[in-house]
Amino acid sequence: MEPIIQLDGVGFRYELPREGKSDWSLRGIRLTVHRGEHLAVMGPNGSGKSTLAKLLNGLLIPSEGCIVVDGLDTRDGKTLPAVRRKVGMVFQNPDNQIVGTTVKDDVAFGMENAGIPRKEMLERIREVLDRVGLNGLEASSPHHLSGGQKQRLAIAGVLAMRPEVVVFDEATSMLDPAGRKEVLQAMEELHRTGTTVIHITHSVREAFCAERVLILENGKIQWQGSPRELFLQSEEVCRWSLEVPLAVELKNRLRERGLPVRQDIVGTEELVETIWTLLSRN
Amino acid sequence: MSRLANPILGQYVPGTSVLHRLDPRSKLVFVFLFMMAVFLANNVLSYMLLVLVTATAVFLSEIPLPLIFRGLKPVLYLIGLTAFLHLWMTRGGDVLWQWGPVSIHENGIVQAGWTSLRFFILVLMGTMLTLTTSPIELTDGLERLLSPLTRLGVPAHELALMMSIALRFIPTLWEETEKIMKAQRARGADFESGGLYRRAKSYIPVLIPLFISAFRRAEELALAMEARGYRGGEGRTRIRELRYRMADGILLAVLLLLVGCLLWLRN
Amino acid sequence: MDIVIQKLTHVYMEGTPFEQRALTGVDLRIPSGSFAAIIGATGSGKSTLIQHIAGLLKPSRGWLRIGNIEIGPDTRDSSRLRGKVGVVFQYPEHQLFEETVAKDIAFGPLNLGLSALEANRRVERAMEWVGLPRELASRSPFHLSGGQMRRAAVAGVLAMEPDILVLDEPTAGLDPVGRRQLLDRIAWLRRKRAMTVILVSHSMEEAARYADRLYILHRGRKVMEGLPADLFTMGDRLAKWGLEEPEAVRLVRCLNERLNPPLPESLLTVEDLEEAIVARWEEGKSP
Repeated sequence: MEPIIQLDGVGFRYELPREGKSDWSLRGIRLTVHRGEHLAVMGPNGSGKSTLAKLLNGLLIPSEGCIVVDGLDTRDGKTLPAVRRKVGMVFQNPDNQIVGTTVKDDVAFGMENAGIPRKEMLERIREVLDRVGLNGLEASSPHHLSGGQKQRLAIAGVLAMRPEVVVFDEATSMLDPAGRKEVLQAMEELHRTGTTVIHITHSVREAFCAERVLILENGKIQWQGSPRELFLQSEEVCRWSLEVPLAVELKNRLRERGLPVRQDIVGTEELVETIWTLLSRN
Repeated sequence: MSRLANPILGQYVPGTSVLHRLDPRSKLVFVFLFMMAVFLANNVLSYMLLVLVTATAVFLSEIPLPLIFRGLKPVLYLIGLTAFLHLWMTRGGDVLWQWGPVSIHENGIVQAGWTSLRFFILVLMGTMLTLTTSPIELTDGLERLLSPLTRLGVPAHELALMMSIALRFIPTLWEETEKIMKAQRARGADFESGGLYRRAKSYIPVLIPLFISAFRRAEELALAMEARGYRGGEGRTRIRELRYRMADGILLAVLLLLVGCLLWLRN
Repeated sequence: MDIVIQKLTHVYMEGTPFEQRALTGVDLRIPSGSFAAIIGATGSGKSTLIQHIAGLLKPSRGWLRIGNIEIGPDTRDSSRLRGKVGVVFQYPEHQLFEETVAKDIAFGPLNLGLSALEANRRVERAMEWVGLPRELASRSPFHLSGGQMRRAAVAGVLAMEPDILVLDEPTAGLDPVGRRQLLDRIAWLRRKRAMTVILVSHSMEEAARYADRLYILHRGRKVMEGLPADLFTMGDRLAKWGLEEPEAVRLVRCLNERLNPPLPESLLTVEDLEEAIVARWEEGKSP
């Protein structure tokens, strides 16, 4: 698999004007993100998740180590515009990332910054609004959109830049269930069409859609593996205060009560199968 | 659901009339010069000409009269008040009515009439601009008109961007204000009773959270803009396109003709 | 204090082109002391409904009665509800404004006209209820962690010691542990103070775990009211109203497709499930 982003010994801490340097928000991060991968990043508040996200497209520059995005080092100021075109970001608060007074204006914002000719902008706007399902709303004012629509608008603005990677920084956490579903679907579509997706989230259910899960705690990578492997370590999961899916929690509870349930069950279907066998046998 | 967002968003009435389709730059220039030209008028004929031009604009805008006048209501009171003052304060000509030290002179009536009319024409033309041009178009027009001044250090692009971001966030912040007011009212805050001082003070629990949230929004927005590659006005292209059309040329011709006539009619 | 609502209709900006109907002929009754959950998709009218209960909106038509206070379209003064109904709005930490946590929590009690001494007592009590350490009282609320800010804001409402507590998405944005802690506290306090609690939530799991009565709104109408165990097992009808079943209900349904005799459908939480399965298993083990 071809790497798209490589972090080598990355550490970050804020330089405060008066107090000097703060504590490390991240330290010793070594990570390779592969092209086309769907990666979920989880961890408690203050674990450094958001810092990591901002490092990936040069909004923050590592205090030590280096980050290379598709061959470009983010420490090099000249390549920053290119890095930001390659790595798009969708933020948490839907309201605070929309700049334009209409849907069309907002999708165009990034392209205007990049100096893309108007004719091409119009084509791309049509294409990306179609992809996120907002066509017909070009002239709408953003504040008339639902939360899910606002986030899809933000995704459209990112897609218009033809990015290699899209980072979702807790982009679903302020949405209602319907809006969440909309954004997850858009995310899924991106992954299917070959874009690398990095999803920073609190929700285990959402992380379950990823191919690889990364857990940060106190600025360090504590664990990585497949979602399935993650729930085999249920004590750890509790320690990181992550939400456990019902099937996993039930399995653990039943095992504690002494029922012969296998440890490696994570999905609802497997558990239903097991319980059924257990209860019908006698 | 922001119930009060509308009046605040300016008075723009969407439409497709000739006036709506004019380039905002030509509308801005026209209204600006028209307002100066109004002061050239000093006789019945020239005022009639101004009224005619204004009435044509109102007609061409295809906006129903009641809608126009609803927006003008506060201004009409103001015009009434100035007329009233002129009526009593202006001396000269025959005395038409007297009661003790108070009197109405002939010139008072003439002055009151002309001033009100002039005032009215000015405001109506200004309103026609804001009724037929969306705030964002106005911003665009201003930016382009000011852009030659960039070399003199006028930050035309930044000003326009600031204005359009303000326009974008007014409804959001308004909604937020309503929300915070409700929350504080549920905690027993009272915004309606008491004297001016007490009432002003009662807004502190609304203003502080509002400012904090506005700053947070500003910070996040700045970050989002940076992430989307914003680096100032240099090298940017525009999705919004302004193009002069035939109608803009006609507007300019009308303006020149009007100024010419006013100068000719002046005595 | 029972809450009785009769034919409540609310129209925003009635008589203008921006008219918007938020509630239509809602009839409902929330008995005193219940833990009620109002659920419905976005735009179903939940928020409009609770603002009526809080006395922040007046009905366009119909009326509501809280205890012995009746509010209809012509009611002038709804401030009589103040202090009786407390509301925790979404993201309540956005309403913090005072210099210290204690002062912020005292804002409500002082508005009720209580003495500084009594207000102080209530601040201490409320901080204890939400589990905020006493030494935070003199801190600036803006220097607290996210979870602490949320608790301070909730304390600000609880300090008014309302008979009815309305919570609008109180756990939005909290992590799973914080969510559980906050609602556990509220449930405990409700029993202790015999409060009525009205929870508005998008999370069916929360409604299933805490509520003893459920009210479903859909497009401004109340479409169903009843016990969680009855309402959450309606399957397809829930989906029609834009709602999902709690995970436990889904699991039981999968299991019951094959299990004979089936498990009772009314298992709504993981604890319920655990008990039922263990009981059945032991039953089978020792016939």
